Amino acid sequence: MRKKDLYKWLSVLVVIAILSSPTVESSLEDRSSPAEQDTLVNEPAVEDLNITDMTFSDDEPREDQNVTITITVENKGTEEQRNLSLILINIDQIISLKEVSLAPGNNSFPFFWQAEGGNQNITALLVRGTPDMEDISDFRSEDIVDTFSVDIWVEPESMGDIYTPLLALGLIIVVLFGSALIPSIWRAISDRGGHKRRKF
Amino acid sequence: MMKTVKEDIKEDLKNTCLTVSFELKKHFRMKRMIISFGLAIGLPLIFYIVPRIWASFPDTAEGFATLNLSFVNLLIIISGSLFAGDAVVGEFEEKTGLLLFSTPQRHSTIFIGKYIGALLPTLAVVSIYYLTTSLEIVGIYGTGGLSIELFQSFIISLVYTTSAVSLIFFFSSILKRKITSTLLGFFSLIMILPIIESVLQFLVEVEPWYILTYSAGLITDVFVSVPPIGGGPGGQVGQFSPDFYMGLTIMVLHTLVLFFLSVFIANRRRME
Repeated sequence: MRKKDLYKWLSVLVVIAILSSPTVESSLEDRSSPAEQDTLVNEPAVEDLNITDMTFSDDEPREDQNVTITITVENKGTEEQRNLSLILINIDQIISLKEVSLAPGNNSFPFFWQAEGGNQNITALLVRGTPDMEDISDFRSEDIVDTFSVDIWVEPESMGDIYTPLLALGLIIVVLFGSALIPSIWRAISDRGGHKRRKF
Repeated sequence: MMKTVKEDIKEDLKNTCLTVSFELKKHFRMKRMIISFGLAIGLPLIFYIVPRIWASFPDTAEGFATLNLSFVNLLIIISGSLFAGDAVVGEFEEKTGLLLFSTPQRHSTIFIGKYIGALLPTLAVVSIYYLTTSLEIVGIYGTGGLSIELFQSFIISLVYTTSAVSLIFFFSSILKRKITSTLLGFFSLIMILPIIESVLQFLVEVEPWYILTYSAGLITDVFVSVPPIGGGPGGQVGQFSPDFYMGLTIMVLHTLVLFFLSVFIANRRRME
């Protein structure tokens, strides 16, 4: 092999080796999408962000009551964190979604919820980016930064009334005792109509 | 001499009352009343004595009432089967109908009297159960523990009792043996209907609103401040819960339709 050809092959090998190294791959990707680059720059360290508390304006709400749920998120870092969302879920229904930015220290976010009756499980999710509200189940689990759940009992509206069962019972009693009179009444009608008496 | 309509009505009422009193005496003589009244006092006492010795009572009177009353269904079914299971079929099986049906009393008044004779002690049993529970609530939580929901639950229990008795009475009027009628009535309410209800709820995932035992859930559902605990026969916590008005309508319809059907069938039945 000639010396010129040897250099040529060596340079090709070097270029391949450089391109396949992880550092270069990520730096090329970074350049390819400015939006993604921004995400990565702002991506917080997971351990720095925590949902620390969830409080209710009324701890014993009644059904259909408007309740304010305040979520406290702590940013232990020293820089403001952006491109995050807080999602509030009740069992498997989204109550609300907010895009948030977190200043260092504690950050509180109020959410408004019309309470549903019975046992409720309210979960707050802190996620990276802004998930699509229409298809919330589609966001990746690795995007979840932190979760916080609270079980709460919401006293349902009182069921029915007292008059309807009383009316139902009264109706049954009247019909049961009244049914004993049906043959006599039937006979009286038959007699009046000139029909022959017959036994019921 | 031809009787007037008023006299006729009076006589029918008198005959019905006569049958009712005869049935009540029969139940008393056969010690059915003592057994069921004993159960009506003994069952709620378990919920009072056991926690007093080994555990603690629920935090609220509603919680205690829900736990206690989730088993009133069981008592309704036992008492209903005891009193109504052999009401009609017994006359045909034991041939006592040969004597009874040959009297000048109208057959319909006999069967209506028998139905009322089975219903009254069952209603009394339920009332005793609620009275015992109420006394326990007063003993534990004071008079403030007695709520309107407890009274609401009591009335719903009475309505459910009439429908359960109607169903068992219906079996009694169509079947040929006392034991078959009593067992079918008992098992349909305690097992068969709750199984159908569960299958519809959990496998087919439809609301079984037309099933009698499903509506019985209203007895404890009226205590809205207590999460459902799912005790008693067919008392599993399901995916659905009965609608108040629909549940009551279903109970009333079961009572009246099955009652009239039973009297009609029993009237047409002949001694073999």
